[in-house]
Amino acid sequence: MKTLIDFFYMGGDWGYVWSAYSITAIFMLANMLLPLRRRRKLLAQIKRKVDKGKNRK
Amino acid sequence: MKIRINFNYFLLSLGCLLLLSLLLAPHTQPLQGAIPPETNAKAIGYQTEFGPIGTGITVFKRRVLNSRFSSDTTLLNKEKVEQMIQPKGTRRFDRNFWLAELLFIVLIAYGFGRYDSITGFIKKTGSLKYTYHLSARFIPWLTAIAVLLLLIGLVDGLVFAPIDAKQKDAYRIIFIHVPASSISLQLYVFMALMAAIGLIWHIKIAEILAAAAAPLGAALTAISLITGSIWGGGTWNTFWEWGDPRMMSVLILLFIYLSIMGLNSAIEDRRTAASATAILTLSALVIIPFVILSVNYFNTLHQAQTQIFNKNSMDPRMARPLVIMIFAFMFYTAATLLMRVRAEIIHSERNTQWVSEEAAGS
Amino acid sequence: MKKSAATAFSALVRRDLLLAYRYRAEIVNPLLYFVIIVSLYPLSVSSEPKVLATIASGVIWVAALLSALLSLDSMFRSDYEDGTLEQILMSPHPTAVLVLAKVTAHWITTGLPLVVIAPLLALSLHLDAAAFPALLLSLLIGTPALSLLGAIGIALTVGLRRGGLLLAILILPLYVPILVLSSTAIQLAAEKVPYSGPLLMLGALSVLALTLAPLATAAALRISLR
Repeated sequence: MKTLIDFFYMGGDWGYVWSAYSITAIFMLANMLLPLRRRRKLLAQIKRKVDKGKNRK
Repeated sequence: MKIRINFNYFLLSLGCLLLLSLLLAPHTQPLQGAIPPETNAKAIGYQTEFGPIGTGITVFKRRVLNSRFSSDTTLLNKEKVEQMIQPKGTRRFDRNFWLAELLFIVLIAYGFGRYDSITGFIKKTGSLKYTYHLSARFIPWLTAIAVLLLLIGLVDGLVFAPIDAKQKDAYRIIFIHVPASSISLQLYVFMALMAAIGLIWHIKIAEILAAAAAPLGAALTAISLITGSIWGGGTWNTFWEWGDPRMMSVLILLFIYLSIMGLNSAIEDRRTAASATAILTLSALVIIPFVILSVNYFNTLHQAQTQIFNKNSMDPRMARPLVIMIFAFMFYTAATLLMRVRAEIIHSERNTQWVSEEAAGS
Repeated sequence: MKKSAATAFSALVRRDLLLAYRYRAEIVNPLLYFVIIVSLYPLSVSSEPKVLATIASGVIWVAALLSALLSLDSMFRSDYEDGTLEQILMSPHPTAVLVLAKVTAHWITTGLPLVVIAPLLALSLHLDAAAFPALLLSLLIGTPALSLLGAIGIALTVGLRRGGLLLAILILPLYVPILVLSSTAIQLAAEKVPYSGPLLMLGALSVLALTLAPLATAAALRISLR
């Protein structure tokens, strides 16, 4: 337990180290999720359009 | 569009450049007197940061600048120079690093090509549908490797790497700062290459790759800038220093990435946008090395580039996680780039038959 | 009768200069803008001569940059609207040479007046007398690069309806090295240290822009007018 606290305390530099790492994590995750969401949205949009076209026929 | 280059004009410009290089030759130490002499040593130092381009710069420096500087070594702090020029044994490691990066590129190309002969591969990647399906098979692998390397690198860097003598634990930011900065620069070169290919041969996939690389590069540059500033807050006692050329050059790189994204989104027609963006990318490419190289000539707070494979400069136990993290970021970048490319392909092919089928199946 | 590219170059320069002479406001306005920006600094920052002397080089260069940005719009805008630009692109002469002619005319009408008026403003800002040669040289070398790089940006945005703000975003990052190098040169000169280094670098940038920017501008114009 003590070593774990020591690890997160980072010799007093915890604020610097963990803020840098968490900001990086947020950026990297957003970078992965945004294109995935965009593709899904586009596909759904196209699907709606195609279905509409079929109904008209 | 066809770009006509008048060859007389081209020769004239080459002549001007030649004349200029002759003019500049005796003045490679521009701020002589204005900076402390030991800063000059940095110009001879090893660079391992900028990818393949960096190797070129390093070779140029060793061949050209070294011979020029050797005439006035009295100006330089000799100990520092000896520290910065690598011992002979470490060159092998340095070369191995580049071989490893080359291997990375070859592996990916081989993976793509495994499905087909090389010529068929080149023809087929021209087809967006083929690229779309092929990249779907690649993304899980690339992501898995990236996550694995990230985990190994993080544990190795945060737990097992020793504490730095001067900067204590704050130095551990290096394991994300250096990979992000290095890859943000390499990605720009990649983007410029793709932009040139798209501009000259009108290959659609190159245009899409260039468009997809810009936001990713901007994000990596932002990461590099933010982590760098936090690190600076820990060690230089200042989060932001307007006078620091290194920070400013990265900031300009971020602005350039953002302006490229801005131009790309301002133009309605995708093909026109791709060509216009390509011209901007290539124009800014001329500026970027100028900005980066100017760092060596000015006095900066930023520490000299770490020589990963020089034991005098960096403990191997610190170097190992750093190298792992650089590769992790590379795989991550490749994976996210392909994800963006897939979204872009759907957008640009939205009126075709296969995309409608794809949408119906999803 | 076939005419050489040099004839076309001088004809285009003469035409643009004549146009600028007829519409004198286009020469005067950027200049006025330049003077007003410079005069805002003593009013807002401080009127202390010491403070002014330290910021003078930066103030003059920032003002030059902004007024160059303002005047850029006139380089291709009117030609785009009345169709002259298409005629230029269709002419048998290399487009890059004609673009260079337009940039030259633009520099003569907007860059050169800045070089002439800057020493007066520097004098009013109490710039050190030793820094005047550096100021003049940096402006002489730097302002052509401002016009040349700006031409790329204006060529990329000329077809867009709201290009103004985008132009600033595209061009200002490219202007930063010019700004840094020239104000460094002036500051070094004011401290009475050799200042040839940054000026030579600035010259390198200028020549690079002179050789490559017209080609990029020509290509950008073709894309914008497609």
